[in-house]
Amino acid sequence: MRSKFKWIFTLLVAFTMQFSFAQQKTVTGVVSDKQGPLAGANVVVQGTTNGTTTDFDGNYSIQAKQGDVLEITYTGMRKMTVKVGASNVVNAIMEEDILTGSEVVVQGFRTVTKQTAVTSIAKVDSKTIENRPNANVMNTLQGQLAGVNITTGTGQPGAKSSVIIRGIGSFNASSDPLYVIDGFPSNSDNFRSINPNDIESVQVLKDAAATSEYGSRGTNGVIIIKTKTGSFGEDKTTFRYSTQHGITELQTPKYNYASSKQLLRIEREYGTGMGVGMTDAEIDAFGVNTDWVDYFFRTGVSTAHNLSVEKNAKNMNSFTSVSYFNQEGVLNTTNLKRFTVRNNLNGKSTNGKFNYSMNIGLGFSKNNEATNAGEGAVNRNYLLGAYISAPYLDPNRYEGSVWTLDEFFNTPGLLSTPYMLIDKLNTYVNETQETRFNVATEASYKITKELTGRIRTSAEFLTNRFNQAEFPDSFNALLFSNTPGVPSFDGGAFNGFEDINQRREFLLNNLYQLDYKKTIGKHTFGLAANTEYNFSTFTQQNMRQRGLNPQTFVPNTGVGYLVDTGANDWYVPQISANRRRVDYISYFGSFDYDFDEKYGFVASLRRDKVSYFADDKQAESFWSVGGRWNLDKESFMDNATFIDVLKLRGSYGTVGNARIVGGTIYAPISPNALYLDNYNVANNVYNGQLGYGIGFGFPSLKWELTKQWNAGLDFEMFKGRLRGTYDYYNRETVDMFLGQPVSNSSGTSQLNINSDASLTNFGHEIQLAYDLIRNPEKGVLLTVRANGAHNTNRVDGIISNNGRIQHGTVNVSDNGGMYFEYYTIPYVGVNETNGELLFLDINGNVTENVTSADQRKTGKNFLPTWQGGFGFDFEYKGFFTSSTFTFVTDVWRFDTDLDVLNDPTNLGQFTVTSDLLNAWTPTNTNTNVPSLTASNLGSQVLSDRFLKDASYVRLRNLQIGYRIPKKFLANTFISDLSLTLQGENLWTWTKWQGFDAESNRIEDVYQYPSPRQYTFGLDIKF
Amino acid sequence: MKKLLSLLFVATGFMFVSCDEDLTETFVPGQLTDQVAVTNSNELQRLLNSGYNILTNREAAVFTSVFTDEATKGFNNGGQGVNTEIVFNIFPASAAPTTIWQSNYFALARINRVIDFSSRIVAVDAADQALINRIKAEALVLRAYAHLNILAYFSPNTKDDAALAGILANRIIGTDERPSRVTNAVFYTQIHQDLDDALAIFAVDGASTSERYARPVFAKGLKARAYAYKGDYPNAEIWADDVITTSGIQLATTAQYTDMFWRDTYAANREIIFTLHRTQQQNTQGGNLHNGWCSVRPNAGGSPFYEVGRALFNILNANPSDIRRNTIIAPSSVIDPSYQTSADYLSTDRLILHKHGGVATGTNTWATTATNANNNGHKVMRLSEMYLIKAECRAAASDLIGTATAIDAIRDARYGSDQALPVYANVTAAWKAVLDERRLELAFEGHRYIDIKRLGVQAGISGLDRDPMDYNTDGLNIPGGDPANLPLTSHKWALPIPQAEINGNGGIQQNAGY
Repeated sequence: MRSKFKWIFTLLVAFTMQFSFAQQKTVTGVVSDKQGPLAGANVVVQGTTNGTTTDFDGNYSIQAKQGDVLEITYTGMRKMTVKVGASNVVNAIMEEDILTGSEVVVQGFRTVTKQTAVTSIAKVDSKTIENRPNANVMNTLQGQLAGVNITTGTGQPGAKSSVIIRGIGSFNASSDPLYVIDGFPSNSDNFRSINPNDIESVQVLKDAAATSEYGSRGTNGVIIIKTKTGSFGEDKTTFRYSTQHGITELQTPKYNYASSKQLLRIEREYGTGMGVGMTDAEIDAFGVNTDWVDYFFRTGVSTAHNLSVEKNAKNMNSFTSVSYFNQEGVLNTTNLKRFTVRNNLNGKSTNGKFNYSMNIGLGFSKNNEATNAGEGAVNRNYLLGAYISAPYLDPNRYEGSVWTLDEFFNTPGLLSTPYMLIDKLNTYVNETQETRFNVATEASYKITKELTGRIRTSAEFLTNRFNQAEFPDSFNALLFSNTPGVPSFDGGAFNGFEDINQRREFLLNNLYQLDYKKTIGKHTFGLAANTEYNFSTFTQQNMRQRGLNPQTFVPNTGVGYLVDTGANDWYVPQISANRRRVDYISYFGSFDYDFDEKYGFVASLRRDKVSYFADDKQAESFWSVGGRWNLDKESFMDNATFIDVLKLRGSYGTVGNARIVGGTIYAPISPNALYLDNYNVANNVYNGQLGYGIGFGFPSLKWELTKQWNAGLDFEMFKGRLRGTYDYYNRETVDMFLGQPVSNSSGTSQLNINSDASLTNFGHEIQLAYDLIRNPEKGVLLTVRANGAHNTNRVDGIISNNGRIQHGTVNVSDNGGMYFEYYTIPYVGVNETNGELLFLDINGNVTENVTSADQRKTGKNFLPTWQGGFGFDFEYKGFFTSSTFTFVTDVWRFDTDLDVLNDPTNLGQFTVTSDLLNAWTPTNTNTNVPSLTASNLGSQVLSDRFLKDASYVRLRNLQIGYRIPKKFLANTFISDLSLTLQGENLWTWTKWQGFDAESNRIEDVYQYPSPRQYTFGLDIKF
Repeated sequence: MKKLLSLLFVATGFMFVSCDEDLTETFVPGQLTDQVAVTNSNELQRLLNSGYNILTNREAAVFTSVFTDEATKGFNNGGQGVNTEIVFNIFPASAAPTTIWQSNYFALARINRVIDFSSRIVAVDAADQALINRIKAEALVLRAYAHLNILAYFSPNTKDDAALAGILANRIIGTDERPSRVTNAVFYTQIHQDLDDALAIFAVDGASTSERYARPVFAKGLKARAYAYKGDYPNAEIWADDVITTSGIQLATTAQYTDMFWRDTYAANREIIFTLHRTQQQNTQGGNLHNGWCSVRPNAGGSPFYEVGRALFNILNANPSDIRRNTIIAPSSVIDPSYQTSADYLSTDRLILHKHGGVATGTNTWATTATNANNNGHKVMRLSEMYLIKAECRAAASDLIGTATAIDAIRDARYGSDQALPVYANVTAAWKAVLDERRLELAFEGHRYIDIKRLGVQAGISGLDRDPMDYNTDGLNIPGGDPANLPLTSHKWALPIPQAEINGNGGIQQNAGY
């Protein structure tokens, strides 16, 4: 009651004052956000054209009367209105705009305000992206966007993340969303050469009304990335420098690795390996106990420097940045180094009719990657060496490549795995150098007041140089030498090899647009017509030199190459070249109508042609309709004063997908077009003669179609303290691309076709933010935010194989069931009488002997039911802290690393879990570990014994910072200085025992886990 | 407004309309359809070459050796076979049924295209027509070979006409078809029809004399093999005798025998009836014959994950002058005379297989896994098999001397000197002798599984002959590998129809027990 009374009282005073002192005066103030002053914020007296922008320190000065309302706007911030009171000083602290408002958002090919958007909006701006220590911007977005499932499958710095929007939409086709960078739909999903600090905002388009205009490629959603620009206004130059330094470490698994002594005992029990014949005393006295995980992993160091210059002027502005980034992966030898330059230029004619912009970005990166991750390559996969090498081996025994080969010959072979890999650490390099050149240009001219013509031409030029070398006379080179084991310096053949692969990719997009907008009274009409041409091509040349001279060889220089001799063909280099091209041509238009910002309607129609298909199947049309009702503008809502914004919206439409198979955009035509039977001439097929490889095609291959409808609600309440959005969606994919299994007697086991099967995803998305404490005067702000998405996945329409698609041995998709459902036999434990594994057969009886007929559906798959993120932002007098937690539920995956550690057949060569000490024996019958010699261990591949719950809640990011108070900076050139400490992947709550609960794979074995990172950052504006 | 819009479409459309069609033409240089790809005899041969190549698959030989009693876990085993073939764990998704099924049917799809397209190609002259006919005849022989493979592995009983074989692929089968299995009778009829047709063409148009191509003698040998599998011994003997007496091929000498297996070196008309040849350029770890048992090369340092089973070794080692002993056992082997009491049998007793690509002394094996290094061809049929079929036919006729004579012919060649004629107490012993001789002569060539399946009962054996150290707790400690777990009555003597087929052809009949 007390607060209500106070509120009325205050109003009354102000009202009275207004009559008393209604005269012009100069109002000054500072506009800032929680990070500090905002330069270039617009301050306008409501209802007038009287306006100004804040200067570099956030100061403004404007003529206004007491009682006037100042509207303060700034991109990415919620629009503020402040009433001018008795004071001549009006300071404003702006807040991030999370939901609705006047902010401009992208809807299809055009921008609209959030209020008039008919689509759901999920947007993250630079505040969230800046200064996070992730090489790839998509990693940073994890947990920020409702309905967007981002999974980092690897700890490799700079590697691509898996991004699935509103559930997986196809069996076979690519599930990658379309990435649009500065208006350029580039299909590029590789961000290792892009500086995240250059990004102004990332917006995700999910609804049909928004994605349909990207018809041809919008089926998996569209991610719009906008880079930073300056703004038109007062002539001003600002500088900003930021730097981060950090360390990166491995997330520790919960496995019980056997120690040397434990392993020797298990080996002795099992009767193989070094432990055989050792006495207890000898085992107890054994001194070596190597932690191979520790040996192959390291604490990585990362460094980033960013310098940017923003130039604002009346008719010209620019944003220029340079950056350097260097991150060591936690796995030895892995690394990413990046150097980027960007210059974004905007200009306009004096009369404002002609506008143009040119965004140029140049990135150069060097990437050292781990090879063979996930594979059982004992001589190549460092991760395998880290995870299963025997702890009783001493790494200090390593004495070089020839020694390693001798060791390999004279031990039970694979026991020497860690030495082979130590040797590889010393004798193998790989490096991918990438140069990325992006140009996005746009020019528009207002032909009349209502009509604007626009041309957009964008291009991306990407070159890659991949180099890898297996050094001459290294272990692997000697093993696979033509004179095995005899180094070239001992008269053997020259060995080793070097690959140099060059790839050039060129992508071009050309858009012509006519945009018409007319307002008649309260009616606003818009009409746009577009044509678009999209061209992508790559050329690639690969070269492998076999036979290197150790005296002169230096990687990536071409020295030390042996030439072919008459005696043999060992040194003949191998070469290959390749080129592919993909073209899209599209015509599309959109219509929109608005009445008084209360009701809106949009419709779009698009016709696409793509070169993936046969002539008569190339073209397809897509369409959408959408509408909104801004309830808060209705008079009947006037009494609900606590509601600021309430908008109801919905849309329906179709989008297409032409990417028949996953992989790059060229995959559908590599090596062949999939709509034809192809006869490929191949060399050395039989007896040195040519042959024909046959690729089996499906002639009527056509577009895959997704139909989607969506209904949503946007709201903002209690003076904007509570902001939120809710969406329900339903998307169904038909004519779905499927690697349809066919009778092998046809000559192939599967055929890529448009199948009868359909896949439906439906679910809910909620995004909420609430300011628990909002007291700008005292500088206290505490905001909590959360988002979550619930997705249900249904397969239907399968005709073949009794309505079932079998994926490998333990996954099925059944009509009415979920995508890639696990199909296993329940493992129930150990038979106390003989140590054999026990399973439940199909009739529910406990048995030792099972067949594939005992497999059943489990209701589990590897995709989350719920996923999302939550966190808080808190600031108090210069201190600020924020956190992001991410979560997924109902994710099940095979923990094959654990499976491997439980495999007694690895004994003698590799380590195992210490749990095997408790294995069943005639004297240890009450145990859950089967006998080491159980004869039905092989049956467990069909069982759920190692199918584990990989749901998790993770503290993805935590930041603590301090902004130096202005008074300390008063006499310096610095206008703002802040210090930040932050951590990534700090803590994970999960039942998953492995290195990393987060993964997009059905099973994890010998994989590169994502790391934990700690960073210290400094951010200076001047 | 309307005017403006039409202006827009005119303006923007202008750019594209004229070249629209060209711009979206699929860009896949080098792509050929069958109409363009196969227009002459040369190109028809290419298609057939792919058929040969796909049949060059080691899985049957590797699976047979590990599943039966030829191979055992090697000291560099990285998990291969221990939970699967060695313990007789086989199911529809296993590698062996999948690969054996697919390699034969994928090859058949190419072969059937050769046969089909051969009739539409217009020859340039009479010689060219003869060539086209010969290519077709080779394709017919390969079709019979592939069908016989399918029958041998997937039919529960090769001698039962009513038992199911596989899918009859005597024509191009479309990707939208779901064919069912047919009986052995249908298969045998097709096999002999194809072979007879081929022999008729060869008789008119001539044939290749190279052992690397499906030549007439291979067709005849296949007829003998097919009749033997069927248990039709009078007919089998006719064709085995035909090959032995009229082909001009002779058994290899001991030196020729090792040369043939180790170095792929063979003279004309020596031993080999048909080999699927591989070249140095085809050297890949995933495809080389020797890499079926070792990672790198067939010696102790080549990371052998399978070794020669102790029981087979003991038989071979008892007769050092039998060239087959040294052909199979590598000189780098470590033989533990007291292996039965070894505390670490896996490490102390290393019996390395080097039948494919080995070397007489030293570690420089002929085959290795380096680029452009040597790797071996698959000896699909050798003359000794004809003698063994002959021996089998004689045993079937209760002619103990006849059986002994045929086996003795092989032994004389393998020992390099005249051996005493074996003496058998009764017919069962004669059958057992045939089975035992096949075990030595055809080891690691993919015969043992089929042989035990069809001859085991007559030979009076109870099952596999594995040394207890290869499975018991004092030895390799793989209790599931006890031969008692695979009686002759087991359903596992027929492979399951693979999951890969069921996925696309759900109605196909699975073998009992799977």
